Amino acid sequence: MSIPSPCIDVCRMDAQSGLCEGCLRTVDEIAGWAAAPDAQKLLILAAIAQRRASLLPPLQNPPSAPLCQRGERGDLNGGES
Amino acid sequence: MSLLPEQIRVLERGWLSANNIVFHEGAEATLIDSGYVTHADQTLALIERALEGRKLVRLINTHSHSDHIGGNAAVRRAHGCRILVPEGMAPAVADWDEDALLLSSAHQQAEPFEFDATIAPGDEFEMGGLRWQALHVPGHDMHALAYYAPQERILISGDALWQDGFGVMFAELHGDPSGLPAQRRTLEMLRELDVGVVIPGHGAPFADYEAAVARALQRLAAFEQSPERMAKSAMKALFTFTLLEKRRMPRAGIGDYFGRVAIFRDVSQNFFHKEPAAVAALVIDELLKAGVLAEEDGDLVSRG
Repeated sequence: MSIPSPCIDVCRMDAQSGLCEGCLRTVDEIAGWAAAPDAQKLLILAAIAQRRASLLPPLQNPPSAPLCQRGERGDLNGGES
Repeated sequence: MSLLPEQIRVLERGWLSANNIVFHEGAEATLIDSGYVTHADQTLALIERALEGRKLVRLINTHSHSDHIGGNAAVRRAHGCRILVPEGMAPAVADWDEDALLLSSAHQQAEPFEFDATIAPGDEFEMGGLRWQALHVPGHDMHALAYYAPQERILISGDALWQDGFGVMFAELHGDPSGLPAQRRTLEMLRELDVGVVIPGHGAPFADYEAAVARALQRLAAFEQSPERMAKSAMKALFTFTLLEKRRMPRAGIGDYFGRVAIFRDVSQNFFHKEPAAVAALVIDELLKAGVLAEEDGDLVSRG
């Protein structure tokens, strides 16, 4: 079974970060996903996890709504992959 | 996995947007399917990347649903390309018949667009330097076309065949009993093809063709035996799609929503013989248990 895509159907690029607001991938990473070898897909998933960690504010500061959603959805994806 | 020739670039999307496929043709390129309307900006960015400097001259659709045609207008604005649609869907697009396009009846959106030509079942054409045949694959959509390159053994299946299943049987849900028999004929026709790689409408390109057709036939047989099972599976898929678009809906309002939106209301009455709210409760319960949805502060949220 191939490595599942991290797409969660948000599919909107954030102009500032250059990342999709849903899956935290760059345009290149999304466009190249289908043809990427498994090793590269795993690297992209690892990069997503790092980006998510750096985007999340410390726990004592309640995160803003969009970031909160990102974190929760991301954790679920992490569990699946 | 590099299953495909260099000149075919698959932009694998999710469920709300169907996959987009870019074919390099020298200095030009062709695109198949354009995703959901609310994703159009990202679709344009992905296409731009996949074109690698080529000029997009043609957009071809597999069928008329919102996750395949939603970005057509935006793609045409950005690239000025020609648009070709399956012949059977042409009248609904020309009249922008939101019922026939399953937009109003399923509470979905798409942007109206104009097309330049149609493709009929049996037509042959060049794309990405390869020779393709248009195959009629009714069932999920009665006018849908798949595109088949016999020489290279590549099938672009749209939603007629996925690695694990196929798209919901809209005709049946709307009370037309010809949907399931059509899907059976389609799968039996596909089973005879020599296919090495499938590029489906959703999900990754895959190679295990015979197994996929066998799985689809098995699912179809279950639906043929139990229309209620088909209807329940469809309600779950359609509500999941709805929530992917809306992202968040108050749980308390879903019963009313099922009563307001034609496809949920009609299927509740015709297949379940229950009030829409009762069917909504059943569908939500199963989706929550399966982990497809979650509940947060009284809202149902998509878990992607």
